[in-house]
Formats: sequence, structure tokens, C-alpha cells
Amino acid sequence: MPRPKDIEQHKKLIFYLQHEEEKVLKILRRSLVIELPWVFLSIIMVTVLLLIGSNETVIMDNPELSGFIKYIVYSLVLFIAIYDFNRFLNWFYSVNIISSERLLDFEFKELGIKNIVECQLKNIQSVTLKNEGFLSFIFGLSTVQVLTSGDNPNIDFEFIAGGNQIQDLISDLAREINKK
Amino acid sequence: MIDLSFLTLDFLFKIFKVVISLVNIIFFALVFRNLIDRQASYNSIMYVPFLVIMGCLGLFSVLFLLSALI
Repeated sequence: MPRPKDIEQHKKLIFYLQHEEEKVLKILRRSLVIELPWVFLSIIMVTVLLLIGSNETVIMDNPELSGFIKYIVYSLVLFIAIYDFNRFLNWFYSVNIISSERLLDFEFKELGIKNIVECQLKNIQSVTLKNEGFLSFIFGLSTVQVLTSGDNPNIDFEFIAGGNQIQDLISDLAREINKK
Repeated sequence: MIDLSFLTLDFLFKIFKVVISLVNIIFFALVFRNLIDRQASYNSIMYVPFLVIMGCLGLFSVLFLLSALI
């Protein structure tokens, strides 16, 4: 069951569907490890561009052309910085929320693409824990699949740490709700 | 005959620079709009730091445009 400390910790978070008496019990986010490949790629790209921009031997004798190439290089660095910040925001805001009434899956992808799935705890049929992939194996990440009854959408909590506890928490919450 | 003497290499570079900086500013505006949209879904306490970072990126975008124009 959720600890009172967890409930206190997430007290300030309010999502737009929330009822007055509804409490946020847990906020889950994909592990940052999964995002590392594009972070490294961006660091390499920015480093290469900065090296090109600062290397005088690459740039021709023409001062106009040299200034122009430098401008293009630093503009590209700025573009990559904005693009990476957007990807970071995608990761940061894509969360799974477990509240006292429901499960929510906020998924933000590229610019303007969002997917918000809500599932009432009373509709939960089964909770499955999956460990897939090499990174998941190394870093102990897992995917929790929540299957729901009828036409309700299923929810996947992908690449999260501590999958066992989450599975246990969701099962307990669903059992309690169905008892009432 | 149309006088195309203004089409110097310097002028073309300037036009290209302005176009590139405008692309950066438009992209920045879209990302900023996206941030506001996300914050509307649930209130994150990191919103203010994110706004500060966005402000810095926006400032750089505008500075790039100004340097292209001058």
C-alpha cells in the first residue's frame, strides 16, 4: 500500500482530470537510461560542430565565407540545443500517475503529439510485469502492463525502476476498490 | 535590363543568415508552445526553471537574428 510519505510528497501535483478528494499516490517516469543514446549522439554532434567552428584551418582565407560558415555552425548548435531540450521535455512530462481512483498515462512525443490514457482502478483485470531487452536487464528496468475490462484501454508503464512494487501497489489498489 | 548588382556574395550570405535565424526562432516558438501545453496537463514544479531555460534559448535565437541583420 502507498506510504503516507508518498502521498505527502505528491500533494502539490494536480492533473487536469483530478477530483477534489482524489490523491496522487505515485508518479512514474521512464528511466533516464533509455534516453542516453540520443543524449550521447547530441553531445558528439555539438562537440564536432564546435570543433569545426573553432578550427581556423578548416575555414578558408575569405573572411566573409569564414564568418558565414561560423554563423551556420553556431546556428546549428542552437538548433540542436532547442531540439534536445524539447526531447528532454518529452521525457520529463511523459509520466504515469497512480492516483487513489485511477491510472493515467501521459505520453508526449514530438511537437504537438500527445496521448493521455485514463483507466479507472475498478476496471483493472490483471497486472503483468515484463522484463525485456538488454538495457532493462542491466539496469533492472521493467514494463508493467495493466489489462482492463471491456473497451477500456490498456496501460503500459514502460521501462520503470521497481516494477515489482508498482505491480504490487496496483494489484492492492484494484483489490481494495473492488471490495468496496 | 534589371539591375542585379545588389546581389553580391555578402548580400546573399546575409539573406541566408536571416532565413536560418528565423527558422530557429519559429522552432523555438513551437517548443515553447509545446511546454505550455504540457504544463496544462499537470502542474510540474519544474515549470519555472524550464521557463528560464526557454528564455535563454529564446534570447540566443533573437541575438542570432540581430547579428544576421546588423
